[in-house]
Amino acid sequence: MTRRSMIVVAAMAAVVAVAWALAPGLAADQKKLAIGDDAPTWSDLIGIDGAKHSLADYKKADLVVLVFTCNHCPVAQAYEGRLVQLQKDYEAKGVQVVAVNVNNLDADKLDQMKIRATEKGFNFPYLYDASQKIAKDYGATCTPHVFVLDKDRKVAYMGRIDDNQTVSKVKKQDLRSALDAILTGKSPPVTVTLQFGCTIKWD
Amino acid sequence: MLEHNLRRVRIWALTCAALAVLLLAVASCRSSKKEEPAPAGKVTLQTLDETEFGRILERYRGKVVLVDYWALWCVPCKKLFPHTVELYHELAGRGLAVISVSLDGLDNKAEVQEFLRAHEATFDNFIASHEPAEAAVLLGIESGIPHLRLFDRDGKLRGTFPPPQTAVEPAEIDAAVKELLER
Repeated sequence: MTRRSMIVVAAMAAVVAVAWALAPGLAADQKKLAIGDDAPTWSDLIGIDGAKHSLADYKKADLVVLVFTCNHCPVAQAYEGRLVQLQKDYEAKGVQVVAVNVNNLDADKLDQMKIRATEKGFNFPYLYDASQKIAKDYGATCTPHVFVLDKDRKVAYMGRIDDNQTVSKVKKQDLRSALDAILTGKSPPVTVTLQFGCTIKWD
Repeated sequence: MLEHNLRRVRIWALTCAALAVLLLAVASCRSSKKEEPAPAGKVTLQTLDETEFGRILERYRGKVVLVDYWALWCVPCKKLFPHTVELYHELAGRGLAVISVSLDGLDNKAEVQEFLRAHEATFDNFIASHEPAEAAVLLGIESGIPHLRLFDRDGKLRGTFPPPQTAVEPAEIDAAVKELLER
């Protein structure tokens, strides 16, 4: 083999190696937040009330429970009642649930979000981000996926609401346990759990 | 006359013996692979101890393995399932093994079985024995479902679908599978 052809082969091998390393499914460059990170802010997300909303809107709340959810996913639907109850139980303690949908399926768009929220008696804001940026900023992966932001708007808990989409089978109240700890100034025993549900429908 | 008949019998006996040896050879060739594929046309469903999944995967060494995680409540999963079945039928002969894992919870086993039967899922099907959220933890499914994993013939993970923050593209799965089968 000539020197020149060896160099060509080596160059091709390098290109292939780089391409392989960057192949989809192997390069995990998805944003992943860590507990204690500053919560990504957002602004001008349209809500079902027709107004634009930012994280700053909720500065009166001690804790913000940001929930990535949507209309169509059966797992997300199974948790709607629990979120409504959570808001009722924790409102007086300074907790604000904020729901966000980033799916652009017809079933999940703003007009459908309004209908769903009314039907299910949402007692918290329900926002829509068609750009999906907030989901990317948080590294949200599925619905439902929650992030608790503490008083300093740092991430204090993230993952799932509880351990079973069937409410009668719930054994671990992961989110409530975390909230209870944070509200008394303690660090939750479990700060990260694994979220599970329908994948977010990326464009 | 008797001698002629005896000769005939001998020829028949030798032919049968030869055939038997040939059949045995073929059979042992197949069964020397550690995992027997489901008999053609049969749809089976086994309960999965999620902690054993790694060991189960080892049985498929030598084959490219596509694992399809799904649930009855997951509409995109059900839409994608026929494509998984089709891929299996097309490429099983070239060394593709397919495993499906339902995250419906054991209470829904009958319905899961019915879905698999209706879709002619003649590959190896499992239903997670733990409740869905816990099964996801044990199986390391971080982004919800649909979720598919692709392993090469040496059992190495070579792809997950959909990739992070991307929509599922069946054509990408096809390309990745075929690429691994070539090796």
